[in-house]
Amino acid sequence: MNFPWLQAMLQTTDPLFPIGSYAHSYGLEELCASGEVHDAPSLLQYLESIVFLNLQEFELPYLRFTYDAAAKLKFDDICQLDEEISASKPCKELRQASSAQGKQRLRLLSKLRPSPFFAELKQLKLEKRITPHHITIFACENVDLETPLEAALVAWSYQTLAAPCAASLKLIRIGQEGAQTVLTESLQKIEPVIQNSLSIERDFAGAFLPTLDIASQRHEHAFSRLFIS
Amino acid sequence: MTGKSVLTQKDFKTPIHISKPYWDGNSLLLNLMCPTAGMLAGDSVDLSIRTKSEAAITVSNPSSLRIHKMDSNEEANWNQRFTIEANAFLENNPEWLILQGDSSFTQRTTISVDRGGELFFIEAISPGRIAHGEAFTFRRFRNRLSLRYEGALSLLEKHTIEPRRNSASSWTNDLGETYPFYVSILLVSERLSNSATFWRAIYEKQSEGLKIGSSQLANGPCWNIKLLAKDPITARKAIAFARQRFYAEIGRNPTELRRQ
Repeated sequence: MNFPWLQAMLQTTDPLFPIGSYAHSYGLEELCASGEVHDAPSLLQYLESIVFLNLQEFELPYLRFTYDAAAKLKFDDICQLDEEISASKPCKELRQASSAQGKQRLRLLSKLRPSPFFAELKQLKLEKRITPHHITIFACENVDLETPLEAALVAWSYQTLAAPCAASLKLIRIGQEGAQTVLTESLQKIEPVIQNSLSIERDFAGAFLPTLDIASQRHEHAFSRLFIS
Repeated sequence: MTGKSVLTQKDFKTPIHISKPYWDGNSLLLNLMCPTAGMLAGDSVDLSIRTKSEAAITVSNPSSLRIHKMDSNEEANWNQRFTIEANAFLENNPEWLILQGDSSFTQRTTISVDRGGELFFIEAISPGRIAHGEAFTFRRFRNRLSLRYEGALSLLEKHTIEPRRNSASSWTNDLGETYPFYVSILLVSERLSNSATFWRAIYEKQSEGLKIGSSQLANGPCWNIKLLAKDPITARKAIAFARQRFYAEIGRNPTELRRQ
């Protein structure tokens, strides 16, 4: 076996890896509260119409840009990309979800697998030059592990699809098997999303998600909430 | 405010016309018009507005900006830059941007606000001539907007929407009913720091035919209100509500736009 990066990736994409993703629904809770997502078919529709679009147009391109900058040790570019990721989120909750997980991921990785790369990122955080966001640390981590870009893109996509499926267990009548069925169906359609993301250029990399933005903005002001975002 | 705001420099050419300014005691009203039928293939507009320290300006576009049908290899471009110096105020309040069938349009907006500057900036977009049954048949809309406060990037919205490539799926809303009329309002003011009741009022404004939310942006005293409406009248009423409450919060008087 010649995949030294694989075991580390399996560890850090596992729900057991404590970066707090279980506490976030990433806007899904409000869409469930409004009744737009209410069962397995509508959850799948949500993944395919909103999460896929965000992956293809924004998250995977920014993961790739950051991966490329990290591979060339261009730390100024990493800082700039991290700033753009932050500003691309017009909802405080989604921004905070991303930054909380990025910070926790960096803290844990620095402890579990110390490296000069993580030390440099921690220094940039100390200097307030990066937040850092979750995508930023995920990209840098995979460059440090020498994970091929394609594998990193697939792993990020899996995490991004699995998180709302996990949250859905607490929000709608679906059950473990139902959530896994939705996750399986969405994963079967993810390859063209990843493929299409490779041609997105930085100048217009971003997704137009008014439905999700408004849902997330409203979640921030809701009277009662199960999830942080 | 130390006195009257004046227009110190004006320079324009087709397809844009800038009206004579009107000072109403609060803000200098400037009407910016596109006297042609709208934007046609190959049209390009470069707009730059600088609001100098202590000045107040309201830029209004009294008619919709229509982007017309064009050949597949053509597009129209609109580049706009707004600079708001320290303690200056700018309101940008255009009518609808209408992305008509088979049109292709690229818009780039750069906004820079110095410390103490204030902003009320509307972006209102219709995905076609909805009343005529035309919706989401434009070819491509690329939009890039950046907002900086004291040099720090507070908002960066950029995207390419091509309905035929299914990148409008959140706008068409595959989860339920379509609310085609999209509005984004940027609000900047240090006087919004303790405005919980304002944001609560925005939250409670949601109703049948209107989805609306608000949140603070990444840097500075910058906020965003987003709304989706089933019809333009509902959207217009929500904008008017947000505008009236914003002006009340920051202790200014809104300028009469002289349009319905």
